[in-house]
Amino acid sequence: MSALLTIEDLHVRFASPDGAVHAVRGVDLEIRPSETLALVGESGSGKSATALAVMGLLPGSAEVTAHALRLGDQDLLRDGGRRARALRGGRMAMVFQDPLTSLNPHLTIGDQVLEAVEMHTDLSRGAARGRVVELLNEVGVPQAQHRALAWPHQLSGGLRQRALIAMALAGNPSLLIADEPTTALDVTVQAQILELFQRLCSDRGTGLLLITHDLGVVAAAADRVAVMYAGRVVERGGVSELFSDTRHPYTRGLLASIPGDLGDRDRLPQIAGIPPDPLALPAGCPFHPRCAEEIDRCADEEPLLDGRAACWVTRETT
Amino acid sequence: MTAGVVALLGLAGAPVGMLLFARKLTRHGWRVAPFLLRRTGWLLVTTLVVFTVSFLLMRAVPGGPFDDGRKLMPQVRQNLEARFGLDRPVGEQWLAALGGLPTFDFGPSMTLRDFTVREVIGQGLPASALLGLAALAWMLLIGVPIGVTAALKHGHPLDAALSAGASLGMAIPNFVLAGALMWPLVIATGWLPAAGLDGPRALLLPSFCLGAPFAAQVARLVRTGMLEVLGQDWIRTARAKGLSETRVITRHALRGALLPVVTFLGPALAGILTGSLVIEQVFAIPGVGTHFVQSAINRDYTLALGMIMLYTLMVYVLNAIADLLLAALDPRIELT
Amino acid sequence: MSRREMKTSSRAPHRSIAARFLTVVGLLTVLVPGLPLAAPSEVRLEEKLASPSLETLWRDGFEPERIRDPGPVSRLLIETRTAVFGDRQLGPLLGTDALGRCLLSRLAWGARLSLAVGLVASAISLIIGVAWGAVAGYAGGRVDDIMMRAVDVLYALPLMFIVIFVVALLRGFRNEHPELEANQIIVLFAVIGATSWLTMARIVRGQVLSLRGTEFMDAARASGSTDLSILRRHVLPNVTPVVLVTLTLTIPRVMLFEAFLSFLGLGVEAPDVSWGVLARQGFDALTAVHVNAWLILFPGLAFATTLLAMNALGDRLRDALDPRLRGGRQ
Repeated sequence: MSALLTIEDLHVRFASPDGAVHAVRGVDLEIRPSETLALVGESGSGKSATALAVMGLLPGSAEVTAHALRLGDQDLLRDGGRRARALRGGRMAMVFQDPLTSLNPHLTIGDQVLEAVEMHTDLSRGAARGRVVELLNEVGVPQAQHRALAWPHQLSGGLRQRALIAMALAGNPSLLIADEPTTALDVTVQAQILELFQRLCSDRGTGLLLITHDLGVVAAAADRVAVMYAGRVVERGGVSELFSDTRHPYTRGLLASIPGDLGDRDRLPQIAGIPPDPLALPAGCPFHPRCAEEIDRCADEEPLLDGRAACWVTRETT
Repeated sequence: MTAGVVALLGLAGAPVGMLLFARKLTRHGWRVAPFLLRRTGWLLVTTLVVFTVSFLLMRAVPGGPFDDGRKLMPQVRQNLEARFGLDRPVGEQWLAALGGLPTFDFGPSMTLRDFTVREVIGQGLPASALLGLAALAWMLLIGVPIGVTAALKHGHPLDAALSAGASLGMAIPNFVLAGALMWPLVIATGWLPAAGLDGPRALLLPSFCLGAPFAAQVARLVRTGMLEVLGQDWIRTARAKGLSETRVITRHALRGALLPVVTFLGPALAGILTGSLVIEQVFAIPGVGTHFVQSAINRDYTLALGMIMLYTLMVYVLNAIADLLLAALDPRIELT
Repeated sequence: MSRREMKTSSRAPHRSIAARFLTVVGLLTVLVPGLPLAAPSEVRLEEKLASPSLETLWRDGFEPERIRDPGPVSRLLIETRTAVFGDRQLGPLLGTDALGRCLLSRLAWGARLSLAVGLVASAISLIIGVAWGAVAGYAGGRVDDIMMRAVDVLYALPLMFIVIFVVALLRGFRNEHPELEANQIIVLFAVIGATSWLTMARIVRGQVLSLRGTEFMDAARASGSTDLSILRRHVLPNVTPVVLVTLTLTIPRVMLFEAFLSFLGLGVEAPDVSWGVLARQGFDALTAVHVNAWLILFPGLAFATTLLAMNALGDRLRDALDPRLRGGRQ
């Protein structure tokens, strides 16, 4: 099966008043149809920038380079991102984090979904309206016909997020990118939304790039995982692999800090220190100042992603 | 002639505007009725308060309408006062004047002989209304495009230039602007008339000078609103849908950017009314503005009262309309 | 940007060009009696309507008595000036008006009155508005309701027109009894100040309301502080930024209103001079034959530069305070 999304050596640089920020430093990713890849990391790890680079939604001042950035056989970097714009909302669609601020408060949700439908299909106005109700039904909005006339501020967080997903589905995408789709929602609603994603992907054969910082979400919804730190992928693998055979100290730290069965411990273990300043990355492995297992080599050379993890310690011991 | 133009504009514009407006208002359903009722109630209260205060103020200030320098013989003065009912107790006078309020009948003017207050208003109102509407048109037709352009060219020298121009428009009195423009457009070239309101060309300069400061403010509001909206998440969603940048701006950004302008409409209309007092003098426009100031200075009781009631009514109604407009256009507002 | 960074960075409001310009204007305005200018009311008919020129830079003939009713500080400055310059004065560098009076001098002396009106009237509106809004916002409940309802009612009145009406009435009265030297400049301040406090009250109340939601207010009250001390020590400092920004918008509006009233003949009266009066006189001097542009140009420039500077300063202030404002916005 050929890959749906191919990313090879992606770099994203921003110009900031304090210097150039190298937000994404050589990321390789691949997603296949019907597959859900979770992209995990703290804020500032570059995961959102990666997604925005795929969609071509980065501001004009951002510099995006890659050895390959393809959706199917379409080169997304061609024509200065115009190819990406043409595919946006159609073959590839994105759902954002905060459903309240992501919807236009001055238009009904029906009108906003309608806009997406009219943009990406040839249906007449009447038929398009029907499609809007269909989509809203598909994403689980009750009384879809009635709800389509509602304004965003009149709906709950869960319903808004469903509306956004309906908008994303309007163009029948083969790739769906969801950036922290459940972070702004209640726990019970989270589970429902994740279930919705799973159903849509298996029904439609869509590939899903699920961006999150929450390993619980990863466990519940993903097939494969890539963990990012300081602009690079530091560990990747299948979900069960990652949880049972963790290869990178950072991932280990993340797993340890999930609230769960605390047993004898009375404090939640944390990873010491804070994420590095993108303008002043440490020499060698960017994680080494916070790493409990570091060795001398870690401070000198940055380890490359070799197999499952980018870590000198792991390599030494295997 | 001017009356004819005003009538035409009113007949054409009003029904169309009201239909669109009413359609948008239906989302509030039955709540419109109590809103209107409450506003009308407050209107009556406001009217009564202003009426009484003005009435008493005028009589509290010593001297009267007949003390204008010409020394009248006591007999003549007594006759005049009797004729206007000024020799009766104040309470009675107040009631009598109040009686005329619903029909805007304040009796004859005390200084402009041969004219009733109603006639003076009737003659001057069309011109003033025309001036005000034209100023409003300038405000929107110049202000909005400038604001949008400045926002879209943010960071460019064009943005700085337009913003500076807008700030300048708010920084000088409107008659100074009139003076500055008069020389090239009126005195030097004779292209526009200096005074009066004969013909549409005569309306251009006065209405522009009246509307310019407000256009400047609208430009600033639109620019700020636009910049703020463009930074919002829902614009990112619109782009993610694959919409062209033009579509994103016209269909999504513009709505949010224009809302502050609707909020500004109330104060703007009141300001245009105030500014017209000066502009009417500058360009010798035969409107009601000149009468307002003069009648107060001369203590022409009936005319002054009529004038202040007229302006009170206009400001109040215009503000209420602006509030209704805002309720119609902003889906987040619930009518209270 | 942290507060310390703000004080040293070049984007700090008090270092902007606008701030420096206004400081210079302010200083010069205060020092006007001590500057070697002609007396603003000195009539020289033989020089009427002279256009600006540098021909006569200096001339003699200054008499301190020509300055009307100087206060004690002005008197001191005038004495210093005559001590330094004798009876020399600057010539009509910016031209003269219809009575041959020096425009430069009249602009300088007019600045004193215009800026004074702007500052004092704004101060009045500030005091009333802040007090009203802070009390309403802090007290909450019924008190807040009543106080803000009063503001709503006053807002609905056509205050501008009432003001004009009242001033015109008083002017008419004074015209017929010129012997009554009512200090009408004070009346002007009071009247203008009394009409502009409403917006300030609303803004301050909004700010106080959002402050009430934060925990440190409860903490202060829990520690036993009296309401008055809380108002003084916690509320007012947090309200100051918004008030300052609003002030930079109020002062220009007040100054323009003074010009407006002066045009209608209801504002400052001869022999006192203000920029509004000068603008009116400049406008009257425009004729088809001799343009006399300088008479309206320079007062116009005075308004433009000063008010633009205030607006720019207000923008800078708002930008600098933005992150904090955003936290406090409801």
